[in-house]
Amino acid sequence: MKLNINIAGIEWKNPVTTASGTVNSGKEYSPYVDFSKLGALTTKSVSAKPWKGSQTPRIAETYGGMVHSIGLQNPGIDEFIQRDIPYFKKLDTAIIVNICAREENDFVEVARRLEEASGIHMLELNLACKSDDLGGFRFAQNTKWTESVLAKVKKVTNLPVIAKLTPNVTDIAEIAKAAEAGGACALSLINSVSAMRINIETRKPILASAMGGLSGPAIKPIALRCVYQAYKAVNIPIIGMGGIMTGEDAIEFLMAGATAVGVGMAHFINPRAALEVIEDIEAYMEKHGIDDVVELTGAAH
Amino acid sequence: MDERITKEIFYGEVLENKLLVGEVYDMTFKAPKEVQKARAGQFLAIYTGNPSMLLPRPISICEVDIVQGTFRVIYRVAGHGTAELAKLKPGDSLRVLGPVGTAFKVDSKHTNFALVGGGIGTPPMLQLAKKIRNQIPHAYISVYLGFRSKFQVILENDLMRYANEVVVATDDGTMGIKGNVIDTFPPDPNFDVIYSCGPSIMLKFLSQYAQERDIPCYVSVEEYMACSVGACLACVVKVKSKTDDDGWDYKRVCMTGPVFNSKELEWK
Repeated sequence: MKLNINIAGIEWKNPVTTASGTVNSGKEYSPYVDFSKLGALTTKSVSAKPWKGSQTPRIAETYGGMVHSIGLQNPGIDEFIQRDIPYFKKLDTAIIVNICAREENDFVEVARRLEEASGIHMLELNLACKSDDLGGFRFAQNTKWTESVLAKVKKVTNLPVIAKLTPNVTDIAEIAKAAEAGGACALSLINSVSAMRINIETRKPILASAMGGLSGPAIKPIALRCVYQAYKAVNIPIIGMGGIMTGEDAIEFLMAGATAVGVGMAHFINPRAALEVIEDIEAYMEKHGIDDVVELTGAAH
Repeated sequence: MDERITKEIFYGEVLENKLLVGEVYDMTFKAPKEVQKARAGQFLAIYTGNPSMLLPRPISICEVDIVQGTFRVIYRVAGHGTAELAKLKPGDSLRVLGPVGTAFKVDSKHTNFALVGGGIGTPPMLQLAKKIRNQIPHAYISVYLGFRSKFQVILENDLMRYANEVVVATDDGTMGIKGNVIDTFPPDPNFDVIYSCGPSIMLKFLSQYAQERDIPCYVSVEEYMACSVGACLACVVKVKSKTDDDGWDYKRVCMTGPVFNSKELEWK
């Protein structure tokens, strides 16, 4: 049974990674789970300079999920390289570093720094970042901005670059095409869904930032729909994510068109969730006599 | 299991889960292996068991019984998740991550201890009082508790097992002194150290009180929490920083806390 996949020349031992932002750089969860058993480890976003993130409260639970605005708190690329790369070198898995930025140049700058660093296998651009240069919109809310930032990052790095897209758009297929045109080796779909909650006693939004992103099983059908639409539109592989809790969820994503999947919020409920997803996929393949996991990709089309 | 894996989620068997006062429940559950690791001030991340409410609830350890192998937690039904916990019955299984976080450090050089509990912040004071009594048999432990009214008072008798005195204040004067918990302090306190858990406004005033008198003060703080292991960065508080340009930085309550030296916190 073949569980390994290849995305842009990078070998994953199985089609499962972590969804960015949920396990930080992996260290905090390492007493609970061996990340070397995953196909890849995707880090929390890192920016050019340190970001303090949002005021608190930063999260509000909701049925089947959580609304969050952490504000991409991170120590910046200098400390990231110093703090996390030695840890990555102990892991036997593909390392995907997710980058956030408020302007194009900063995406380029962080990509350049990571190109110089060792022990990194792929980059993922968080194109759900908002930019003042774009009137407060997100990079991946416009085809031109999406293509432009990817093309600029591609110029400074030989690492494969994944575009992580926001579902908060009118037509995900056209953004997916723009990312492909910009040189993305793959798409990560989806980032969190714009959302909010209100405290009815104080009559105020629960989150200090008022609005945030919804994650968790509540968004799975939306994410599946986005993967399904993007699969029809592009030829590059898709890493599907959004509320995956079990192997059944993951297989749905593969059938919608994903080549790999990201497990995110599920870690908060079960630190071994990603490993269990791998075990579940294997069991499904065995039960249905499937020799190669890629046979499942796009099966629902 | 991989030998580098040192932590895992565990299951406890509920022995008792009873209504204490108002919306406050008192639960004891068995987890003989994990109680050995627990220290006063730490908390447990308890899952609700309801698949629509996924995140664990951070709940302070009230008391551990090493011999019986039991945890005792006291929690207020504050929302849907804690309402699920209140439904648990003896014999039910409880899914738990932890113990999590930093503990109250007790210095054997100290003699006079002030333990200050505000409302549902009172429970961790019990295990702390027990720890101090075991570590320093001659300690003088004064416990000061603040509640809205006599109907919310909890753990007064439990605390008397370890404390030399327990003084209660209520906002409405229905029990003990009418006023806030700081009003119950003696005029010239000889506290060597103050420990506290309670509403942030109480902790802020207590911190000021301690700083004015140069008394070390340790507080247990609370924030909305998701992962409970330090990964998600939801539960941060502002901590003073000499290296940061703004003079403060966000630290994780689940990792650097929940117990902080009150001097280190940047109070709102």
